[in-house]
Amino acid sequence: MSAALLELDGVSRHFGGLAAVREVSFAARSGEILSLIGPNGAGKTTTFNLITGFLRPSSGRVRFRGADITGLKPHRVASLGVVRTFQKTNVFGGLSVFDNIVTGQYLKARLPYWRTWFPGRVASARDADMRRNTERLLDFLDLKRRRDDPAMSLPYGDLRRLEIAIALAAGPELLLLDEPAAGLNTAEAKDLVRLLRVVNRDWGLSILLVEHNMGVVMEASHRIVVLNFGEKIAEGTPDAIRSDERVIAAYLGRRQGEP
Amino acid sequence: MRGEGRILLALLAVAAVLPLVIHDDYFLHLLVVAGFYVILASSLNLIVGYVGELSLGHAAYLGLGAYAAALVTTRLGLSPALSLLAGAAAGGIGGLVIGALTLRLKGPYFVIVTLSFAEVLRLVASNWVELTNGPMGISGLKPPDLALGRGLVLAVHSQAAFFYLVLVLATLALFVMYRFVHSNMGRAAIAIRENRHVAQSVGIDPFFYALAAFVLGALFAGLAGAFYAHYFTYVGPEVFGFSFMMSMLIMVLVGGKGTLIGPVLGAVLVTLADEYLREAQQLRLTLFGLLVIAVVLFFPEGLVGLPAKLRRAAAMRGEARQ
Amino acid sequence: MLDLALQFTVNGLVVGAFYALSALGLTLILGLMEVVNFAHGEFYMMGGIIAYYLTGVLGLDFFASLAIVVLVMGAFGWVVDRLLIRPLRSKDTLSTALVTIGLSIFLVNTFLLLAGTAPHKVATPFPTAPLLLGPVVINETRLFAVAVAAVAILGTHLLIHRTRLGGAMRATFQNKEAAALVGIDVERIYGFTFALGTTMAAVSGALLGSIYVAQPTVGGLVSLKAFVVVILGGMGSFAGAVIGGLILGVAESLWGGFVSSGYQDVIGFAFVILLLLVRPYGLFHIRSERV
Ligand SMILES: Nc1ncnc2c1ncn2[C@@H]1O[C@H](COP(=O)(O)OP(=O)(O)OP(=O)(O)O)[C@@H](O)[C@H]1O
Ligand SMILES: [Mg+2]
Repeated sequence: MSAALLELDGVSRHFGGLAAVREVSFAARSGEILSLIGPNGAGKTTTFNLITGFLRPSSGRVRFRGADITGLKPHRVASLGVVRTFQKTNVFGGLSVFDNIVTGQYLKARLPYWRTWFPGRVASARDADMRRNTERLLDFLDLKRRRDDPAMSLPYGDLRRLEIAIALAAGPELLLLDEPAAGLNTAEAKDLVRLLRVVNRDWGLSILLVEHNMGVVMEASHRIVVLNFGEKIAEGTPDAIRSDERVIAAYLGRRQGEP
Repeated sequence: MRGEGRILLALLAVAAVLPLVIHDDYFLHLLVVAGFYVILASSLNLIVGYVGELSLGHAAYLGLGAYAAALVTTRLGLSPALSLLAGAAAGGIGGLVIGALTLRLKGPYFVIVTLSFAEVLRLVASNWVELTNGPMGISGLKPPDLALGRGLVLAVHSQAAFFYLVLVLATLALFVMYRFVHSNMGRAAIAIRENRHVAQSVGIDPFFYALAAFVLGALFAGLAGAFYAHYFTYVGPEVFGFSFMMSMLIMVLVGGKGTLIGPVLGAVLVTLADEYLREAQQLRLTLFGLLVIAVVLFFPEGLVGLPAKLRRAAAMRGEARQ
Repeated sequence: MLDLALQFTVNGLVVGAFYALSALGLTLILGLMEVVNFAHGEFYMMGGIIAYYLTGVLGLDFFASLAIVVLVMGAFGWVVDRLLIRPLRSKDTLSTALVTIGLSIFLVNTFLLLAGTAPHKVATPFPTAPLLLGPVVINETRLFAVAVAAVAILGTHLLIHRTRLGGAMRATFQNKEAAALVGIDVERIYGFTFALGTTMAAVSGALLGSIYVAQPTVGGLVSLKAFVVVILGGMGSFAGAVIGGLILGVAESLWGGFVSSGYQDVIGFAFVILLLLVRPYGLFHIRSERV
């Protein structure tokens, strides 16, 4: 855990009169799992959109590896190594699971455009690489049985893993996951934590995680940033956040009856 | 090679021997027309089937190609081989300009604006009399003899020769499209159709790949237009018209959009059906209308998707029995 | 010169009112339901042909015929929505546009089979003699059509803004899910809206069939002009459709009169292209796409 990989510097975003994200600053360090939590409507997804270029900030800057990426188009941000998943599950519905993961490797599979018509050895070698990598990901995410099924026919749990598989296929340096545990049962959530650890420790990916499941957040994260009504109200280790009064108040204020 | 490529090669082999066994000039003429529609429908399919955008302005590139071919041969006296190139280039450039302007538009706007471009071009073709001869059109184009070298000319006069010419052009078109859709570029285009947001999140630039498919489609529509001009030796404003648009759209839908074989089958079948139902002019079109409705509602994958659909239905019945 | 300009402007306003009238139904179907309805012109055509049969062949009174057109075409629109549009509601623009293209081909050719290619005129109780207003010439049927157009526009406006049904419509097209949650039968609203749009197209076809002609093949042109008017006016806005229609009518008339009649029809398309290049989401549409 060392230098800042991703930095947000006073980032704001307004929708009409509503400040969905207000003057938010934080940094994700290289090699860490950083969680972004907060009650519903706190601005977490909006923050993801601002980082990945799906929305432009009204003000403030976003830097990745020190370079300013504010307002870059989504595909440009992705090509720098910042890949996200979506809160509402999003995959290539009509394609098979296998093709979903192959398509996810678009950036790695890129060759000069003329190679499209004169593929030669380079392209077939690249193809073989991609297939191998796809099989590996299928294995890793326990999707082998579903290999040739169309993505839209998958049960929910498989779908969520496929979504992660697509993002991993893109070869990110920083992975942004928007509520990956939503809708999972306890066992599945445990598996997810294990998966995040492996990806983080063994593959060396940094992860920015948005999640409501506190079990997952507390177990997986190195550090946590808390948003409420678009503003950052706390930042620290899981232990520190657990006992932070503003955080407790924010959650209690919004969702009564929860611990 | 994938299954799709093998089937296309088999079709090519069958097509290549057809003129040897068929000596009826009229039937050969139908096959030439079918070949023309194979190129045209396949080119539309790149946009409608692979990128998933309904471009109703595709007749624009057909028309640009046809007029470009007519103009460079009658005005500049260029050789027919060059005029085929000119047609493809005109279509491609038209596609680049119109695509760049329209691909940022969403849903209904895209449909209507692409259609508007074709209509504007049709009106220009009927009114710019000095250039296009207006509604009279340009006639007297020569057959596309291909000069293969000094003194060696491949004369394209007979129906069989025209058939082989269109076969070569269609093969070229399908080869280029095959390589495209089975490459990383093609996967990117399909990804945009399947889910634009996920495509962007893995690094795909939706605008660029939609435009690439658009230009490629327009280019081959232009080539088809140039062939049309030489085959019928005449070009008029109707090449920009909506009836060509309808024909190619029906072919793509009936055959199966988003596959390479679908539009080929669709083009051949619809051309032949069109001819043999010619007696019953309106009834034929009435039936086509119903056919389009039925395909959209019940067989969105077209003829090509039929075997899989039947298999699925059979499997379901099997399960039900158990 | 000034007289001429005035005459062209008045001609343009009359034609523009007709454009607006024939586009009104499409404001609902394209503007609110986002169905790129290529059969719009055919609904218009059907109104004209049916009115011709009722007045010309059966000899019914013009207003009675108009009432029958409303009933028949309202039911027809409902059925079309139920059978063809509803199954595709959750799909993209492509599918609904294609199904209406199929419907359009089917209707044109069915009516060619039934009614032939000949143009017909819908009989009205009004004299066709020209009326002179100062330097400007106009005739009574046209004035009547403009008046009916005004009434239709006003009536629909009141329906949408003053009735419970209208309230449910507005709620549905603002937020379908929320409307369904508060107990609005969203499917019925869609069906009703489509039927209303179809009826309006047919009524304008019947009215304009008394000024121009009713003919099975007029639909294509009507659809194209209506698309232009709806986009110019901003999707889903009645006032917008009226303004769009008038602008188009006057611009065409002036251009055709003073510049070049050949390119008259280019104007609408040129407007649409230019407008959408400047405002890719239409005139009044606010960009709000959620990820
Ligand atoms: N495109 C948009 N247009 C208008 N308002 C928006 C838009 N996107 C988000 N908002 C608003 O911004 C606020 C923050 O939303 P956001 O989706 O970022 O919350 P969140 O923290 O992800 O919540 P949840 O936990 O429910 O996913 C909300 O009030 C939301 O309604
Ligand atoms: Mg969220």
